[in-house]
Amino acid sequence: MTFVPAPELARSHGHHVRLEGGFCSSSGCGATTLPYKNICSACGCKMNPHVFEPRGTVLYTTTVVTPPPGFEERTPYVIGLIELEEGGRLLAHIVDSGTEIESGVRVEGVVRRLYDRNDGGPLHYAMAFRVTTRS
Amino acid sequence: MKTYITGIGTTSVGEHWDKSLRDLALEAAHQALTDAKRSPDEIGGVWVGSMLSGELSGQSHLGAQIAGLLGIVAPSVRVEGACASGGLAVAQARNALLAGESKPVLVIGVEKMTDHTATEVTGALMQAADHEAEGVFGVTFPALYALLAKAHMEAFGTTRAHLSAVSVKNHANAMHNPKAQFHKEVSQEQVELAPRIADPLTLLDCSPISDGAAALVLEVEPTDRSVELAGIGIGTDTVDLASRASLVELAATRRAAERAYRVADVTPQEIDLAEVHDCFTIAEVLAIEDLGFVEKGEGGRATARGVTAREGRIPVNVSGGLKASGHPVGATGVKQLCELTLQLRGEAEARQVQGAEVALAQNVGGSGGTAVVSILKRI
Ligand SMILES: [Zn+2]
Repeated sequence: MTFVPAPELARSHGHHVRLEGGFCSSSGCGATTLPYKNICSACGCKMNPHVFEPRGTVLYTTTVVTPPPGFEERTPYVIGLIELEEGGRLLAHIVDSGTEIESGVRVEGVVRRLYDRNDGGPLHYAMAFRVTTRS
Repeated sequence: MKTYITGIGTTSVGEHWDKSLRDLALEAAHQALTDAKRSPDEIGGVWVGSMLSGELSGQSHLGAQIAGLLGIVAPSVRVEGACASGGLAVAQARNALLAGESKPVLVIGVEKMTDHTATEVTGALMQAADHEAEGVFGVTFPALYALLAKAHMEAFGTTRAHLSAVSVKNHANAMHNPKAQFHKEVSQEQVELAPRIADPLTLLDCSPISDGAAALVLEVEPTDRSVELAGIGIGTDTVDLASRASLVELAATRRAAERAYRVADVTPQEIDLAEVHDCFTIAEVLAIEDLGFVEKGEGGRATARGVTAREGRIPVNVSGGLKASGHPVGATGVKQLCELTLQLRGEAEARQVQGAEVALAQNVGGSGGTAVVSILKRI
């Protein structure tokens, strides 16, 4: 991967830092989407935009030690598959929580800089998650 | 109508610093044409499978380019479906024959990867993931398969040792394959003590970065050394892992296999040997379950018991698989069929599975967004 170009970064900003996704408008369907798409792939109905609360539980994690270009400085980093409280799943960085993270632990969102490209271009921020300390 | 593999060709797989993308493609193609006793002017169409030629060799437009270099003026198309590009190219070529193309058709799979650093190749391969949901956040392929491994371990009690058994077996098998990338046996301890790539996966759970090409000729009439390409199924699933209904199977494999078994009119129990897409050790565990060789959840234990060994009930990856014979990604799906053709012809020499009549290949793109399952029969 090369650095994300500025127009794409602007276009994706809502998804990357606010979890802008959607819920299916059909009452019986319940499907979610993240990032947002306008038509439900489960039933074909319209998806209503929804900003997800950045809270959920960890299903599985792994620690990446062989990064793609741009991610060298933050390596090693933890990637987790997260189930959001409101429904839906996503893959995200897990920060400030070490590498030994048990399945089922609760996490909360925190916006972080993914990398510093060091060339004057736009910085890439994204929603990361950390293990919840408050009860 | 039936279709037959009438000629095959493969380069050795590894680091070919002295050979370019085109050198590799032409070497395999000329071998296949010679093996089929066909000249370029007899060919009715060319399908070239490659994933990364644009990214790593600065070369797109591979269909016309490779055909032109071969002196073929028939229609030529490049096919891309990540690591399943080769299997998809074979499927498209077969479809042309089924649609009425009467001339022999040529399929080439090729990848040139070792001119670049591991970081650059890791980045290029991430194009097989969902860019907006995965790639943009630095989610690598080892990470995706590591999450699948964690899910399988939690659901079925699959262990680190079960994953190691896949690597140990495939490295042992590659000792008998002169064109394999590695000729070095590994022990369970070596697999588990190798550098971590994405836990629980170590370097020796991962297929290598490889250069290589494979080619085959398909025809509607058999020759004396032909093997029947009895059925191909293509299955798809969401490219991004988080949208999958299940993380303990590759549904695309199951869907592709259902179709391939039906078209070829065989059952999983009738398969004598298989080449499956072990890009990571967990992928072989998933494959032997999703193809119906063992019960769901038993893939790790079955491998550790030797069920898939060369002398086992269903030999899997006798070539050494992607793990040890190498994974030139766009070539892999074609290379698997070349290997199985050798087996069904009885020409696999030291790795020959005696009495093999029916064989299966499974080729996967990405973390399971695409799967191609092909079934070959001795005639
Ligand atoms: Zn819906």
